[in-house]
Amino acid sequence: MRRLLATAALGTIASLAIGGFTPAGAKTRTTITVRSDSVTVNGAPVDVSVKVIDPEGRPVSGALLRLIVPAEFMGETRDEIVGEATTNDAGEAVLRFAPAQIGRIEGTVAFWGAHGYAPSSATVAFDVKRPATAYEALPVGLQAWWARSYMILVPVVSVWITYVLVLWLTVRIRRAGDHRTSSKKVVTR
Amino acid sequence: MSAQIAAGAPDGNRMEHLLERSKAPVQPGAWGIRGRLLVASLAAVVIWGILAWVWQLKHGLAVTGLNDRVSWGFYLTNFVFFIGISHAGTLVSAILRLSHAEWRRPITRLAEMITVVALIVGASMVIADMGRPDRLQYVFMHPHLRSPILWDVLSISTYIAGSLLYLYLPLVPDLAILRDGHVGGRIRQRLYSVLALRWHGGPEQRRLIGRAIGIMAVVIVPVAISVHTVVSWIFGMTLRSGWNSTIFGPYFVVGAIFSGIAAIIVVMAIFRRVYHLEEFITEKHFRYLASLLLVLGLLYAYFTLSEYATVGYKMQVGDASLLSELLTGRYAPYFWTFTLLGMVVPFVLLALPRTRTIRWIVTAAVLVNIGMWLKRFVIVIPSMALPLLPYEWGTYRPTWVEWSVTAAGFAAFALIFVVFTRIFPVISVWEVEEGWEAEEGWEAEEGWEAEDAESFAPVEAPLAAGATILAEEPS
Repeated sequence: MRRLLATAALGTIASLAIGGFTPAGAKTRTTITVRSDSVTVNGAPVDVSVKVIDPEGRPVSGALLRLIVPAEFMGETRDEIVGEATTNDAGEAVLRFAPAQIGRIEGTVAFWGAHGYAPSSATVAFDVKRPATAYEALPVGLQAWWARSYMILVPVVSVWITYVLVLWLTVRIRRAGDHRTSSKKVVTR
Repeated sequence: MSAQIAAGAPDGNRMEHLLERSKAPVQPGAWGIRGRLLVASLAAVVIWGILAWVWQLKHGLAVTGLNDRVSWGFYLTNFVFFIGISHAGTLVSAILRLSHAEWRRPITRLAEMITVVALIVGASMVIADMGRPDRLQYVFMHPHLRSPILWDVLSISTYIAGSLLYLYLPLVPDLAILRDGHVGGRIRQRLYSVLALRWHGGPEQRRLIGRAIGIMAVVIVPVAISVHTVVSWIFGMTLRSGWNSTIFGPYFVVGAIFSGIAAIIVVMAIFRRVYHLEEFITEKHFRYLASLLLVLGLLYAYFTLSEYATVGYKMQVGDASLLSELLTGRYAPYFWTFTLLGMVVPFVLLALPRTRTIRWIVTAAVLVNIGMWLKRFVIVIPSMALPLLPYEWGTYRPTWVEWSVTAAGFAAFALIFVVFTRIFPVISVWEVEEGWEAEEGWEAEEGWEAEDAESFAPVEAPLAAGATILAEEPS
């Protein structure tokens, strides 16, 4: 019992130490600095080193950081959390991220605020290169070729043009009915 | 309302009889009480099916047996089945027309009608399969050329349009007969008058319609083949066991023509009996179609053997599991029923001289259609139920909603057919007449110019006709 009480007291002191004695509503500003390789390869993990400090330059420990990048799914682009890490006593954390797309990715490292610290964020950008040997899901081979060369549209449009020509023939049949000439075969019934 | 027979017709009595018989179904009061009861019954089944579908729209696909594992069931089976029998019109009408098969003439109209009606019913089954039919618009708003679904929409809509044209063109001279014979009331007379395109049978009109039919006969064949190839690719372009096949295109096309010919035989037999067309649709037509049915059936059996033998030899994990369920497991009753009813028994009936009678040929055709529906069922469902990850097999049990919509589909097929024959002649009168004339060498006696004869024959040099129309100035 005494041990439990001691733990609770220590916890209270610790939370006061992290949160400081800042009055509620006046949170301490934080600053995030990011360091990372700006060029990476698709699928290869990249480490984003992050440091969080307060206005006095003191490290902020225990801050939960999130790496957010835009991700496209079914034609819609949404923000996706791709990594999480908590800062250590030195206010540092490493977010590991393996980009799934190719091209420039502009992400955000965000601290949503806690323990009396205000939220802050920093941007991070990567140029993601195509790997030398990659498995590409879509579109390759015939899938890409069909779409590019309009292999489907050309025959379909050709057939529809033929239909229009046949319809034009029916118009001519009707017009020919205006100039009635005697037939050697079946006459009008 | 007496039909004037063309002066110099090959056989006045025969011609008159043909005109009377072809017009009989479209005469007022031609149906009688039994016909009306039939239409009322079919309409009732269709309405019940529509109500079931509305229920499904209201409560979602949860009221069907479809689930996250088996998302294609009866509806897709019906879709493949109806698209399959739609090949009837293409084969009998276009291919036989192009190959100058004279015996085709009395049955072309029925075949062309089967195509159009089966396509309409088949396409509607896809709508039934969609939990949210309003989302069909996305196929057109956001078309994705790599998707077999889009290929399907394009090819089927192209086929429906082409089949309607191909049905309509040979109808024009017959519509003129109905127009000039004052058949029906004012509305129908107006309809015949508009659709008959002021047809009076002059040389220029004959030349133009011959050319139009010739072009359509050439175009519709590849379109029809592409339709069922694309339908097969909906399955074949996936990596699922049972569908991952390179021969699915021709396999489906042959199966479609197989079931299509069987459908023609059944429909022919019904209309022959109901409308007393025995004089025009003779045993010869049944025997010729029976030969075609047997050949196509053997070809289909060969494809089936080839498909399962290659898969069964390699026995990859998924395929082995699928084959086991098909041959000895839960789907074995369907598979073996298809094998027996759809192939073995019909082959025996069609091959033996003793059973090559109308009755047994029609029996074989009915069995083929039942068997081919089951075959489509065992193509669609087991591959969906087969787990892609190490889970239990999926299950599919159709509910009353799917049974109702399926019944409505078949009833709609019959209803549209019956109503169509109530308005339009079931036999292509002018084509039959033309056949008689050709038979008896009437053209030569009448001093018909070879040029006229060539332009009138709808299939004479259709490729040349197609080329000419492109070069010709509109008159």
